Amino acid sequence: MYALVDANSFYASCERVFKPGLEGRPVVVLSNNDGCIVARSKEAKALGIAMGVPYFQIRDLLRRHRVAVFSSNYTLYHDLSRRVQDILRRHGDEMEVYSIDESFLLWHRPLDWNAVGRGIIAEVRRWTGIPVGVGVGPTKTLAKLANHLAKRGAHADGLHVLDSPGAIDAALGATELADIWGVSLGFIRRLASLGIGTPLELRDADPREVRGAMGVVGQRIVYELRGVGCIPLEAEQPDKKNICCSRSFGEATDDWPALREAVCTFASQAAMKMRRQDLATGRVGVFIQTDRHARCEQYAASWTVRLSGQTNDTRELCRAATWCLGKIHRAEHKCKKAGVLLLDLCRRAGAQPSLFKSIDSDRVNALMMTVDRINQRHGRGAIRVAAASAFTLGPSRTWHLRCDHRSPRYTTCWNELPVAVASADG
Amino acid sequence: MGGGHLLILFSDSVSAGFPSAAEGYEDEPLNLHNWIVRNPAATFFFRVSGDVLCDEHIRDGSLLVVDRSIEPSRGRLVVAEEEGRFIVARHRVGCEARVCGVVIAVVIRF
Repeated sequence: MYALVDANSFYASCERVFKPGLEGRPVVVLSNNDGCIVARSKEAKALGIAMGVPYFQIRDLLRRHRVAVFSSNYTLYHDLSRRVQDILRRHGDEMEVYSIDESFLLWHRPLDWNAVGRGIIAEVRRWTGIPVGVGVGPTKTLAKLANHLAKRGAHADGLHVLDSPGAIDAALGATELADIWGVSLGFIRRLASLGIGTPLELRDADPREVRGAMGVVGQRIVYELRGVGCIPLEAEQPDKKNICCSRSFGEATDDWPALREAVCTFASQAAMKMRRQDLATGRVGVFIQTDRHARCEQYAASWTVRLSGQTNDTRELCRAATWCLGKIHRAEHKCKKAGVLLLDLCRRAGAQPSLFKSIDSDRVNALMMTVDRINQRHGRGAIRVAAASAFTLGPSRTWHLRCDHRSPRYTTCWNELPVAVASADG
Repeated sequence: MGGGHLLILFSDSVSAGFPSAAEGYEDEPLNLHNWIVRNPAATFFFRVSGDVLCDEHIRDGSLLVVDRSIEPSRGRLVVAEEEGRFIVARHRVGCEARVCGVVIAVVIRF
């Protein structure tokens, strides 16, 4: 049996763990640079606040309803996510981390699935403060559907188990095609042409016919709905194909030094991410764009450059990123957002160094690893290329992130621990 | 060169001294964190504010190690939620405050 365990409004729940007064109050979390809403608690959803709405458009509404507003605090979310994963890993025989707030568990033995589900929900809640929902089913697709019902069904109480043909029939009867994992709008249109309009009809359709219309992916869904597992767990995260680091700026700017600093900082961060996975890159891309919400002439451009070999050297990547920026930078356009992409990633061990440079790639790697270790210990940007900015210096530059509502990094920073007031009467 | 090849068999020196008598007895250095934190997924740190509990070795600025997985029993030091803030106090059964976790250690740096 499979279970899909996911956290309810994960980011908002993380904020609540360390803010005792927020239980029952609406909470929203903003995207990077306080741009738009990326997470809402149940109470905030009830106010009609939609996902992705620009923050400035609903600022009054949020104030009126005393909604607690947070800038995203990914350091905190990542730490709590890791804790939840550690707890879940002990429950299943195998596990796949699907996203920051979703994991699949797999068992190869029969168990009392209601007891298992309740146990997981109670333990994660007690140990971390994070509320989770659990859906159990014989395939990943059915577990995902069960999870959907655990949260949104008529009697939703955080757990839904599909362990009998009757339960599966009822679940497929109570949901729509759009609720099925992997079924896109395009699929729904093509299924309609086959006369398939409900999950039950999809399960009972001729797999070959579905394959003809939707390919092997559609056929797999049919079998998964029948309880025949076709989508295996991916215990190992596949190697990333590319890495992106991008940000909106606090203020739009056309200033060359400021933009160069931003781009070099992003390149350095992306390079660090890449090295953490022991990868190297062969192609670097840079993009910039003006403020989509501002009434100004819009401009967006990107440029990529192929490196003469594959590398993980921050210095080389910054040089390439600066060169790309030079190709697309226009003095007449103020940029609101920029980003750096590292493309054509490959394992560093198999990387091809440049023919035309006599650089000892092992020495470069050792240097970069040392830089990463120092930055880990002393804060991001403690050691950096001169063109990049030190994050630790704070928001002195126009392009820096706006995060006016960021909560403390309660679990990863000695100076930001939560405070407990000593009380004599317990 | 005829058909001959020069084959290099060894190009590095080999250390051939007497092996260390300590070999096979290596141990990790003691790690204070591992000694205190028994359940990392459920353990959180808090900073104390106030000197009311200084008789209990809990002073302003001390660090509390709090394990949320332990069932609180009467008389144990706990961190709880009260009126929108965290407090640290002795646990009383039937108390209004919602217990977050049990204090398993206090760390004071002199």
